[in-house]
Amino acid sequence: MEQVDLFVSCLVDLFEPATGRAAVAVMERRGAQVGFPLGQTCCGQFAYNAGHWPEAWAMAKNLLAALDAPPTPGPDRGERATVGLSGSCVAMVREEYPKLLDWAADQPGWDSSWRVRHARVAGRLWELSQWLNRAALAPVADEDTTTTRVALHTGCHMRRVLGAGADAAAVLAALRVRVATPEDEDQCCGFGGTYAMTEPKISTALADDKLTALRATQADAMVSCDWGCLLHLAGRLSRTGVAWPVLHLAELVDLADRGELAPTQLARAGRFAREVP
Amino acid sequence: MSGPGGSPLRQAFRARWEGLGGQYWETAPGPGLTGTVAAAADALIDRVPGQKPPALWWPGPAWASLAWEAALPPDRWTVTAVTGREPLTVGGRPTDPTVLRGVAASAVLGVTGAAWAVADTGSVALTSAPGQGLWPSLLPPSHLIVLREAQVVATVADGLRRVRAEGPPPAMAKIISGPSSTADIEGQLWIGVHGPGRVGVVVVTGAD
Amino acid sequence: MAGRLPRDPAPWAARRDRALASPVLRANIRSVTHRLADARRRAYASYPAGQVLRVAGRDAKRRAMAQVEPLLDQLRDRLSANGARVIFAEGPKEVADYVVSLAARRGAQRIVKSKSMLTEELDLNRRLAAAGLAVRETDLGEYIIQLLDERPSHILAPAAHRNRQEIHAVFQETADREGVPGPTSDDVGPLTAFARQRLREDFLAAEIGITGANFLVAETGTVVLITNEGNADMVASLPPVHVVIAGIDKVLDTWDALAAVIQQPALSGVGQRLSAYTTLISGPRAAGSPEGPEELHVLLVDNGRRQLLGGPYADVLTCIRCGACYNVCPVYRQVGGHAYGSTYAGPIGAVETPLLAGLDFLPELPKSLCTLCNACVEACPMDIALPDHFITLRRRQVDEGREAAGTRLTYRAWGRLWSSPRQYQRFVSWARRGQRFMMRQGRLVRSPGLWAGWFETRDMPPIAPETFHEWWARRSPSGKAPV
Repeated sequence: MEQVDLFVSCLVDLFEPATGRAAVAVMERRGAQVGFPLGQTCCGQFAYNAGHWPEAWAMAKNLLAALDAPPTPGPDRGERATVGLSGSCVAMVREEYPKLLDWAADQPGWDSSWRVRHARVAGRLWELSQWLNRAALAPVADEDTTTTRVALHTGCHMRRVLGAGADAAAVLAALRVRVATPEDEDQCCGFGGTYAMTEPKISTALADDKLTALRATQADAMVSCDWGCLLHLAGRLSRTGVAWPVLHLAELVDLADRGELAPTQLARAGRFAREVP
Repeated sequence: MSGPGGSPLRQAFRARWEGLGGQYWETAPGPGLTGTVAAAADALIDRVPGQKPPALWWPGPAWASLAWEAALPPDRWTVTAVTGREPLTVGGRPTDPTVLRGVAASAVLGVTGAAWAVADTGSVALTSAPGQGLWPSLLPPSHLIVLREAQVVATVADGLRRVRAEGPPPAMAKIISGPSSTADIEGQLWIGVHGPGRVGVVVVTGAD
Repeated sequence: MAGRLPRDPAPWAARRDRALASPVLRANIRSVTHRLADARRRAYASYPAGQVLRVAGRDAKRRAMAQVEPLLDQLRDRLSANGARVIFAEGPKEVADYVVSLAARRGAQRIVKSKSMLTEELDLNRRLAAAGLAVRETDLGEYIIQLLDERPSHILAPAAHRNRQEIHAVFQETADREGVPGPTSDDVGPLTAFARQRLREDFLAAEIGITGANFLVAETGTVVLITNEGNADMVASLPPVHVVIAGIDKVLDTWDALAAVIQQPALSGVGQRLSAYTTLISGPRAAGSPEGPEELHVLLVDNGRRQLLGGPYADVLTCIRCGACYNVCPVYRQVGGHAYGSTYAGPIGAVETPLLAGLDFLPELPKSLCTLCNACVEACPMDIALPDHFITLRRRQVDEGREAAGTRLTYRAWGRLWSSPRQYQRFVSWARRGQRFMMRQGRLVRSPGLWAGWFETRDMPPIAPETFHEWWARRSPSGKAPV
């Protein structure tokens, strides 16, 4: 039995914990023994991207220590993976932490064992759709073909930094969920971490373009592997009073596993399915 | 030099050149050449009946044997034919290059030779040299190039290597890839802004 | 030494809002950037050799930037031997002074120019006009913005922000002023024909031609000019004097290096395998040659470039000004080039401008014009590490105390609270108490401080009644947090 440590991300933990619960169900259904390293908070990406590296480094150390902790005792410790519920955060740990480590190596109090710990963590860290897309863990295909169509938004870091731009679509195809690709699908939604807060006008103009393209697919719902993009896009839908279900991939896979992909079921599970007055 | 490989290079050049909007003719060496050049020249301009449009004939020393009177007959064209190396001559008389600049600026067609051409990009390269001017490739609205198949190389790098093999590079070399174009107004492609809007090439086939 | 660049006096917020409020600008920039980005993608997809050349070209540029000074010496020696005059110039003043005194010596009044971002950077036209010289831009887009008294908004399409009707109006105005017939309609054909006619007269009358350079080859002393319109050929071959004004970053070591990189501006810029005109100039008119300028002057300009050599940002100097990063940048697609406030826009402009002119110059550029989507580095043929540069420039701004004190404190507090599980739990309980005052209909709708901007246009869910941590503790009581 594969042991999987869950790295939920701060946004899922604080704002959208249902995504984490769905991920646990999805992974357990596929035979994983799911653990949750308790010390985790945030990968520090927002501070790193904004140039506040001492703060980013403090958070990175905390996350590395948490994810590097010994596994929860279980029946089999042979295989161990860590699965993240945000493409952007996984990209941060795998691809950006080395740069942060290089910087930290020149700071007071540097301990070179961080490089070892990072190598251990990064070497077994996957984003959820990557983990689901591995052949040995092929999703449990629902034999009922559905007419459900979802518009897939792939976050920029997942696509370009992590290089996992195709996994989510492959997972959904295996689950016989029809995927609609929006026009300009590789264009940024405007979230950009704290950019969404510091440059709301440009960020919102980008969100509106992205939502126009996503909505033009006339899909039943929007799905993504990043609550960063999704909070921004769903928050815009909510503010403009547009009713459209928004789901994380983990939730959609959970629904597909249970054969609950009817539009009404998506709407029940998704955020902002109904107009907010 | 081109041998059995010559034909595919020529075909590749033709496809790219035409893809860029260039016009293409080919002919075997010999008496058919002047007729092909004459047809190409006619095809590159809009002829007003009864008028003899001005043309600047300057294919350079390599084409000294090509008779301009047969290609651009005086009853159909007003031709300024530049021959010689130093001094340049027009109608057997020495001429000043600055005069030729004015001629080029008012001609509707310029005829030049070429240094080499590139199959990969559909380009033709011209180099300045004694006896060889580049204005007819730039100032008239139409430009006709006479080229030998053996001058077609595979890539830009091959062509540039040819330049280097001949010693220090010439004062000016230009690689022309299709007609002058712009997309500066609303991104719409428009052919013929400063340089020629119509470009044509006559390729003399064969390995020599 | 830091370079000097022109600067729009309007503050960032005004420049941004001006752009966002212009539907013509946004529609035009959107269509031009999409068209060029799609053309680049198609060009590479149908041309496998393009990738091989791209890597070879990138390596050639990097190799040159690692040995700039000896290459510049070699270039000077070769060009001088070929009959050109080579001048090393520090910045805007030195370049303008040289051209003005050259014009005085030649008795020249009329200058034609082909498109050069460096001369925009040097604000050369304004300086030459102040000295009484008549300067005419001849690239169609540059001609349009010169008549409009604007700066280019895109490297390859300087007038990309203007539509046909606006261009027709300024051409008609020009025709009226100059007493000639205006364009017959506002279609592209008549507009282009009008410009061709007007500029043709300028080409033939000019006494000095000024161009930039796309590449400089040290081994042979060669200046390379690339255009689609053919105007650089006119500028370089019709007037009796040709002045090349090029950054020191344009130098390449060998002729073979040129072969590696020569197709990249067209491939990455407009999706062609080669531009319509690629012109290689290795000296003034040779003895016995009928054409070419009597004098060739080559000015090699620093303006802040040397300070980057050998440092972490040296790859910025390998930029070939193809504009590929502009075309894919989501922020550029929204606001266009003028919002960046100086000569260079897009991701490279936002990074390079403060590197050339200093971190205090337009300090908003690294912060406010990038979402870190990484589309630029994916598009860049030279693999310039643009996203990394954005982040480290932000870091330098923070390190050097340029971040507002309140923001700095917010990040300190945020970092402290979120870097330990115990503090994080404390944060959750505080936030739950605080958020009650910021909610409407079950949604967070406002916030103080750094987060306020979010709520101008978007809602958020509140912190969940049960976080994932709390759910896990309830589900697996054995796995209690070790705090």
